[in-house]
Amino acid sequence: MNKYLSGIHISVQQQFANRGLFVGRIFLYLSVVYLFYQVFHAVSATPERIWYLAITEWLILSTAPLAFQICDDIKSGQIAYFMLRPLGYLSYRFCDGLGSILVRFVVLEACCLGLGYGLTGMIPGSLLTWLLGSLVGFLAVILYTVLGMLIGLLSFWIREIQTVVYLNLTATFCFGGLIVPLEFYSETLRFFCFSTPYPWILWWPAQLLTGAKINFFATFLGWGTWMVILCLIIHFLYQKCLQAFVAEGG
Amino acid sequence: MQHLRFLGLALLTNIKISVSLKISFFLTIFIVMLKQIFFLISWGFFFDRYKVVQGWDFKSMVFMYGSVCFAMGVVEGFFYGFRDLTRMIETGQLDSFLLQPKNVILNIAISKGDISNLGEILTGLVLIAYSGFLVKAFWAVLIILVLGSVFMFSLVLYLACIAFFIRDAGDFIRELRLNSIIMATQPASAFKGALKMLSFTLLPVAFLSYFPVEHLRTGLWQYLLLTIAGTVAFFILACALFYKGVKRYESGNMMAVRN
Repeated sequence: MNKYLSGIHISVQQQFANRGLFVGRIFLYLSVVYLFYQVFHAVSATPERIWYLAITEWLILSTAPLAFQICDDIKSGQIAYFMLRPLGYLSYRFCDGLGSILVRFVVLEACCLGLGYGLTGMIPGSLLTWLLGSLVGFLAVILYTVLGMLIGLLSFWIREIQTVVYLNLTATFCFGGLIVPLEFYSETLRFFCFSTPYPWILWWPAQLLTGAKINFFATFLGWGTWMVILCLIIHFLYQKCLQAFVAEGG
Repeated sequence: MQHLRFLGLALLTNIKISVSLKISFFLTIFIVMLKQIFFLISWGFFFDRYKVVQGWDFKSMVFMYGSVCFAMGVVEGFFYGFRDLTRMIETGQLDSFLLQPKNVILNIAISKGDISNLGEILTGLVLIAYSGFLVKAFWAVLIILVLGSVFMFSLVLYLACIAFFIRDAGDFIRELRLNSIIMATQPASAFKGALKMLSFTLLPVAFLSYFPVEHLRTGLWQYLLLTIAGTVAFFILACALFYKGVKRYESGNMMAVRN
């Protein structure tokens, strides 16, 4: 267990050491939210809509880019060296991602609160809502990271995963409700959206934090179901990947 | 003439490399088109709710998005080499390009190409056709598409040049590039104050999205003239910045193979 905790610890330290990326991410968050704020302000949208956007952006930008990391490991053959070590490759990568998520999540949440308050002059919900919402937001980021791991594993069969990563990103925007909540969508599209894992990445925490009424346990069950499904697929793909890897001798 | 022949041969080689894996090639084109459509669905519902953003309706947004898609497709499809420019500067691997008796910028730009970005070009054209501006102002749209590609070429070069002046700026440049694209694909008519100033000066994406759409929307020629002047000036600035950066460039002694 200690080796995985060390993985998280190293990853946290790396986040602070890699200042360029860290500052860039904060800058990206602030500018994107401010940019969207101007668009929403131009159409006289309610402060809740601006908060919704600030929250969804916070969650998206908190995610660790594990898909590219796993893809690099597979393409460069680095994965073979991990197989020799007494630790599970996917667990190690997940812990590695968890470290960067922890730092980004906390820093960007502070930015979200500061910028959101600065732009709207209010904070939706109570302290309890924010505590619960932060937990839900963290779970959402975990789900998104797991989805990224699944895409990363695809690089064993697909030459270039960049397009799939961007497809996943735009699918998250569209089916997760990045710009507008899913309530704005038509009935049919909303039904389709809820058949995907994306609403549990953005819509669920953002709705909760902006004070909308949602059935917490039903949505939590939805999140849990998708986590189980994705983990099973990842496990299956990783076993396939290992079999092929061993058969071909690396 | 010699440059054109070199350009033609390099592009042909890149096309052959990209098409070599047929299934992957067509699958990528399909996925690229799909992702752009996903993005527009969200905006469709936004405009369904709010109708107009400072004079821009959904059709204006579709045209702007289409022209940015087209420009990105052209640059990433045929001039993909700029993607590696930051890394080359940071690791001192620019030498192999500087030593060749060819135009350095062009040589770096066409050193790589990913023709699967044809999906972006096709999506761009479909969106532009859907916006209705192609029929209304064919020649203006054609000029805007050419200028948009030149602008995107300049933008990628301009941002990569930061690596000459700031150390370890690779990640920062990547985020900045993403920021520029996000900024260029928003209804720019809503921008005010510092953001508007930024889109006119340091990150002049207004010449890629705001001015062209304003010309098509209002029919005023000064917007098109501003687009032409801004794009040409930005292209010259990006090239000048590159050559100024090359003077500061220090080559490394790392052994590397050019791929």
